[in-house]
Order: sequence, then structure tokens, then C-alpha cells
Amino acid sequence: MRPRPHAPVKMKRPETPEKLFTQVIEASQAEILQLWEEGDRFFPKEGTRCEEEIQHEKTIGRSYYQCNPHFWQCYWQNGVEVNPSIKVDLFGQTFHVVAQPVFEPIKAFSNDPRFYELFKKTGAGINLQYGYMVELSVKEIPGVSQPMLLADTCRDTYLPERIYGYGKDGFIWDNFGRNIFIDKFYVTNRQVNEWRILKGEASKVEADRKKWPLPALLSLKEQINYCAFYGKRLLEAKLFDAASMSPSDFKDTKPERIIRPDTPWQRDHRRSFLGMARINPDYQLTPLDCQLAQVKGCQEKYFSTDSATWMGFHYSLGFYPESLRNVIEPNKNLKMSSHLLSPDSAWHELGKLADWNGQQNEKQPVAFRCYEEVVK
Amino acid sequence: MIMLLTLLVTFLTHATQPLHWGNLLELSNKHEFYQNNEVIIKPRESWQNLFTFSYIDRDLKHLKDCVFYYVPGESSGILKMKTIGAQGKCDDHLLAPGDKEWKNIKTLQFNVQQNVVSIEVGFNDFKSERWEARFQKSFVRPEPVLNLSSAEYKAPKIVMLAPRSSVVVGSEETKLKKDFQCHQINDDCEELSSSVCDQCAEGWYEMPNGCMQGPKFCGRDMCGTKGNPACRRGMVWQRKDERFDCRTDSSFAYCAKGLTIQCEGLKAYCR
Repeated sequence: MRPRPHAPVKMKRPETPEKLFTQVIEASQAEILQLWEEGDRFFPKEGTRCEEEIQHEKTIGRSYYQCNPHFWQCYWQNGVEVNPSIKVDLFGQTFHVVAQPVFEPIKAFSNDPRFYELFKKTGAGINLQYGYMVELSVKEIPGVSQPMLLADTCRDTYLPERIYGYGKDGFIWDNFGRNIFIDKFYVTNRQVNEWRILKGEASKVEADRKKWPLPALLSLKEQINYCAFYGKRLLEAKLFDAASMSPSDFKDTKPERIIRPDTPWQRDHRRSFLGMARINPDYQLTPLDCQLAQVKGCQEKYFSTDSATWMGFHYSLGFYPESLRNVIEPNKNLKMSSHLLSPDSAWHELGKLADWNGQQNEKQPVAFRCYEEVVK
Repeated sequence: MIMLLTLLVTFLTHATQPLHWGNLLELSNKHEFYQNNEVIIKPRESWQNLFTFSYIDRDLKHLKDCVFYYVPGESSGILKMKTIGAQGKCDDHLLAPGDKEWKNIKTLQFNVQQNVVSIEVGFNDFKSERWEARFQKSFVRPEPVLNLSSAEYKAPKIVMLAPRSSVVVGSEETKLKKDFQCHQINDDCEELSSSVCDQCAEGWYEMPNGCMQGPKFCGRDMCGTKGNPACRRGMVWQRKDERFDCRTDSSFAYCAKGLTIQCEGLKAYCR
């Protein structure tokens, strides 16, 4: 006798619209998250139709649109497709979940009502320093809507517990017992705009949309204030090295010998294109070289994920000069390697730092990023 | 259109359960004596606190609904809900009028399961309702691994909120001020209270004392500079088994070039 096949367990359609609404919203969560966290996958080839939110340039990688509130705004105001909705098939019916433009306009961006509101933690209850409030409804169930907070899960990445080295030699340290998360990219003008709005300084918002994805160029004091506002700290030199210098053995977290590679991809810089450029004055940069380290002669490109180090950190060499807090050697607070220096420059090596006076100047713009330590 | 009308009619006839009960955060104070699926019959004619449901509203206020029941006797039962701030006490509102009250109740029983509390209410006119208070999946901090973000480590990716409430919450929900000790660790490395450092206004700093977790205070991290706590260097890289005593081995901390570590008890400062 063959066993009788199990009948699939059918969920009963809730009796009240409130319960039905709750279940439809619950069922749509995975797709809401996908739209939020993977905006790059929804970005149309032909570009968006929302000039006030996004002015896309070819020099900007699609990962910029991950956890990006301007993309969320653009998507729901028909800038990606007409009458957008998240479709949910439940109880034999197709429901259409849509975001609601119920938030006050942010005049610095546009006069349109917003599909999101910036959120900054002010008290207990939520263990998130900041995020984005949105409100969703279901077309087929009128009269009810669901406000919710979306977290910025795309910003930083975890630095594993192990023994690390700082600089070219000498100092070693460890982060056992500490949860450290480091920004993957430079802090952008878009992020600084949000900080200014939350602080009530909307007049200082960068108006040029093309500059929003670019690194924010703040004074050292403002960099520190920006990070502190979100409960974070300006990136430290020893963390920069830890995130950039690939360990020789990932499994051995307490190695006897700490290696300090010259680049994130080659232990010895002489075997990288940067070393070759030092020997050969006629060295021709390839597109791959420029993806790893954007140096002088490369076309500018941001938010490409090709420069990722072993732990998901970007822009270790090349790109912008970067501000770093350095307690060990306070006068070495600047990563000099950048797109301003030709590939044969001796500064294009990990562990080589310079002194910065904390003020921006046009000839040498300085980017920054934050890190956060979360108590175990 | 027919579908919409059907839904609307259903909505009007069953508009009872608060909508935000579909996405609550936490159940607490479940009545200690009442059992699942048992009709509540005593103590007759007394108010009982059945549960407390906590949630966050659209203004990000941390609130809780105190759910009380007047057990029927000579007079009918009443289910009462009072919304207060998360720091308030439900007991203080036991006899006060509720924000919402459902009267003429003949029988009431509940069933507490994982993430759902169902309440069955029978009215004097023989109508009955079955309500469901649903909880968002309780958040369990994941093990930190490569590619995990701080947001994922600290909280769910989506937090559902309740509609705006008119409840005024006390001043206890403001951020913690500078130099408030947000994580208490004693010199024996014992944690005296859990960290509340996530509530600091501008981050926190640690006072390294040779323990895997040192005491922490709200404020900006100025470690390693003159007159401030030393920076933490770690307790593993030295490959020693014994505990670190600042006065004999301060290698767990470091100061900026030109400064030296000075110990105040077991705590390391830079001078």
C-alpha cells in the first residue's frame, strides 16, 4: 500500500481585513527588503526618470543604489517603472503592496511629498542609531497602512576578531572581545546631506545631485562630528591597516608572525602593477589596475566593488586621500595614496601615511569614513 | 469592486481588535495563574492584568498596552486596554478607565503560543470574537561574521511600527549624557549591569582595565591623548594566560607617542 500523499497545508484566509492586511504585509517583507537592499538590481539600463532624486553618471557603480533612500523615492514616484507595486500572491488572490507618499517634503531635495522620512534614534526601544521610516499599504485593502523602519544594512562590515599589525613593523594588537564594524566606502555627500537635515541645517545641503555619490569633503572637526552623531568614530589608522592587509591564514586568528603586505592583493608591491610602474616609466594602466586602485591616469569610478579587500573594505590604495585618527603616531593621520598621484609614486603602499592639518584644500581633497564598535 | 465592498462590510462588523496588535514587539507580565484555553472565572468581580504588549509607534515612542480583564460575576466582564510609556507600570492603571473598553463579556479565554496570543471573547448576546495579538519575530543577535553589517547585528532589518499614539512618555526616554557609565564592569572583570551604551548621545569610550570588557562611559572616544583613558590594545596578542594588572603589565593599553601610561588602580590613563 502506498502511503496517502500529504495534502498541502492551506492557510485559512483571515476573517477580518486587519488580519488579512497584516499577513499580506508580512508576506511582502522579503521583497520590500530586496527593493531596499538591492536597489542596484532594479536600476534600469536606460536610467531613471527622477532628476530631482538621481542624476546617474557612468562613473558611479550600481552598488550606490543599495539602501539608498533617493532610489526608494525615485522607484515609488514612477521613476523606474509606471505604477510600481510589490505583488504578493496569497489565498488565491494577487495583492499589490505600495509605498505611500505620506511624509513631509524635504525642501532641500524637492517639493514632492516623500515616500520616506529620515529617522535618528532619540531614546530607548529601538537598537538602531538611524534608519528610514516608510509606510506601506495594500491596494486591495483600503483604509489601513503600515509604518515601518528600514535599517541601513549596506553601510559597514564586520572586522573579524584576530591579532593584527599596524604599519610597516612593530605594533601589534588584537580585537578579541570587540565587535568592530567599518564603513565599506567613503562617507558620501548624500549621507552628509542627511546629517545636515537631521541637525536642522538644510541650507547647507549639497544641491548638485551629481555630487551626491562622491566623497564628502569635510574638515577634520566636521568628520569627527558627523561620525559621533551616529554613535560612530572616525576610522583609525590601525583599523585601516587591519581591513586592508590580508592575513596569511584566515583560520589562524592568533598567528605567531603578523604579515604586513604592501597592497591588499600582493604581499610585495613589486609584483603588483604599482611596483611595475615604478620600474617601467612607460607602464600603461589597464582597466583592471584602475579597478583595484584608482591612481593618476585612471578614469574616475566610484562604488565599484572591485577594490574590495579580504573583509569587504574598499579603496585601500588610490582613489581619495583619506583622513585617519592615529593615536599611535598622531602626525600620520592621512592615507596619501590617491588618484592624484601617478602609479609610480612611493605613497601607493599600505602602511605609508602622511600628516594632515585637518583642513580641506582644493589641491588635496580628503575623504573619510567611520567605524562603529558595538558592545558585546 | 464587489471584493472591496465585501472587505469593507467585514471591516465594519469586526472593527474591534487594535490594528497594531498585528506587529507587537514583546509580551510580558502574562498573568501567572491563568492557563491557556481555560475560561477565566475567578476571582469574580475583580480587575486582573492579563498581559502587557510592548511596541513602538510612528513617533518612535516605546509604548505598552496593558490588557486588563474584569472577571464577570453578578455584573458582566470588561476587557480594557490602557496604553502607557514603556517605563510605566500597568498596576498603576488597574482601576483607571482604559483607552479602549469592550463590555458585556460573558466568557474570555486566551492561548499564548510562540509569537501569537489569541483571545476568545464571548459576549452576552452570544456573539463571539477571536482576536490575535501577533509579535514580530523576536530578534536574536547573530554571531558576527564577515560581511555582517552593524545594523543587522543590532536589530531586525525591518521594524514594524504602530500608528501614532497620543500617549505622552516621560523624560526617561532621552539619550544618555556624557560621562554616564553605560556599562558597569568591576575590577574583577564582573559585569554588574548590561550595557546601555547604545543609548549614548554621541557614542561611548572604554576605560581599559585589563579585562576582556572594560567599564564604558557615554561620550566621544579621546583615548590615548593626555589626561584621557589609554586606548585598548587587547589581551590576546601577548599570548599570556594570567590577568593583566595595570601596575605590573600595562601592555593591554597604549598612549600616543610622547605620553606614558599611568595606572589609577587597574585603570590605564595617559599622562
